[in-house]
Amino acid sequence: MLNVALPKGRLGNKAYKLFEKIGFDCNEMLDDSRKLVFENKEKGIRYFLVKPSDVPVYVLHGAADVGVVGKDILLESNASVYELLDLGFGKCKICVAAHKDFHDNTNTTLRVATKFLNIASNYYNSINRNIEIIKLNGSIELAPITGLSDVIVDIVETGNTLMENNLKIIHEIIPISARLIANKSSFQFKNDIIEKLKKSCEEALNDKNI
Amino acid sequence: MPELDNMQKNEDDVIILLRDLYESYGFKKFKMKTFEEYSLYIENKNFLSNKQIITFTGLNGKLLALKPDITLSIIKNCGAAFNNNEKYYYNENVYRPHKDSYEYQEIPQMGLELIGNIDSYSILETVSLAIKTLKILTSNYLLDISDLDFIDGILDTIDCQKRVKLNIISYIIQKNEHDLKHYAKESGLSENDINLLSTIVNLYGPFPRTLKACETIVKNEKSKRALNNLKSLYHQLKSYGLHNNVRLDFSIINDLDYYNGIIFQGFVEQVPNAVLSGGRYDKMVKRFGINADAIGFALYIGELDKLFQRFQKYDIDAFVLYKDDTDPIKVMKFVNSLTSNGKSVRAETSIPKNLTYSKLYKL
Repeated sequence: MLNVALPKGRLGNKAYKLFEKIGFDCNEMLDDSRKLVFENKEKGIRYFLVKPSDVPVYVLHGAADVGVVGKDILLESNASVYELLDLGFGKCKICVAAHKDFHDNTNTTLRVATKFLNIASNYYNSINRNIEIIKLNGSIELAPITGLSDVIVDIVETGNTLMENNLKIIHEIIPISARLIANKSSFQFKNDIIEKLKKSCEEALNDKNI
Repeated sequence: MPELDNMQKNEDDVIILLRDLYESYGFKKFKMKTFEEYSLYIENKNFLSNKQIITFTGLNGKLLALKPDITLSIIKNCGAAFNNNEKYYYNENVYRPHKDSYEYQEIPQMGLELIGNIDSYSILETVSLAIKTLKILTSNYLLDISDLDFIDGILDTIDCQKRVKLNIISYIIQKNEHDLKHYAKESGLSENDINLLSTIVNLYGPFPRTLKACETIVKNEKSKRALNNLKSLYHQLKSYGLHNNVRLDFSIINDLDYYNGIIFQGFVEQVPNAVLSGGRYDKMVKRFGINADAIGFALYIGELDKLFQRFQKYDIDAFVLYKDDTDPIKVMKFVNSLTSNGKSVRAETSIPKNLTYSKLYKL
């Protein structure tokens, strides 16, 4: 039995559609219910729906053998798992953004509002910039407008929210998309099915691109 | 080798079996002091998996540490040389931060070190002992083996900065082909090198098949020699029937400033991370000014909880309830009749609140 952790929401739905297409279907998933575990004994697969940021936790501790998670969450969690495949969907970017009139004064400590503490501090460490991190949990765009911070480090999909709030992108830190991850021990003991899953996903994704 | 049924086995049984195994191969027990001078760790801090250490000032004013590692102390004190092999095993607690909770933890560890002249026999003996160690735990085990000189040799053929090499290594450890390709391209590596690296990321599996795939990519003497070493090790293991649960996996990479040559990691089913890790660390020994090579491994006893957890319905098998005026000899006789049948028994005049038992006897 292969245990798969999927993030609740849009990304999880897309991932399930892909798995369904390559033969790991599970009809229970389509029912509108409050269930969290879905199983197809015949195909040997069991899906869990978990909070996106918990996917690496389930996989790291082996409760799930594989999982689908955004690269942003993976970088934040720093979990020691195998990252087997870029699934290519859920594309966006992690960017530094600021008010459109912002001028970077390298003389001072930069105040950075973000929910991505690791990604932000790693980026500014890499350019040796002294920063003060302000952790927020949502509506990050509000921080530079209200003067809470100089810049923000956040996910940008279309850039519309930024534009509507008079913000602009200063730097693109890293492109993000959904990744297939695997537990290191499961990868050993369930190697055949995990390799098969990876390969079938790869083929299905290439197919779509043509 | 004695093998216990998993249902009956627990941590203590395993430790006794391992001790006997290591002693039968001439390993002496290394008993460590609880405290070690902090300077030992700070001078070799990249050797440690975690750099956070519990320190305090000793009575003579020296900064001491609660040991986060055993290997360094063995190297320092062993007195080994090329013509003087030293073999030690240990069963100690180390103190490191737990990976999830933000607290230090006492982590039980068992392992062995062989320092001196490391030849093909010493390598075979150590790897065989690692396999036998895993076998004592469960029949569902796997030992992943690699040779760091293979990766190091291949990377030597790629013309790039050390920083780029380290990043490439971190992608290989994650088996992350997509980001590796992207990064290699960004760093200006040639198409050939990029293809070479993607091949390496996907090299994993049983020896015969994977070795064949490696042969097509070996470039220089260093990687060729490493591959030949792996090949002969596999054949040696095969002649002793120890080859069935070994795999070749080039994603096991440790700090190249300390480690070299053969490296391995052991997994058992039901435990989500490696339970055993080991390899050669000649470079580390040389840093201590000791003219010798070394190989060893550690077993993370603390990780085995999951393996030995069994579903226990009751605290004890039988509870004997007797009255205040019951003859103690009668109670004792009855209890003995149960214990001699292998039952666990408690005899008392009242039943404790949170105790569960399979059977109740009233006298």
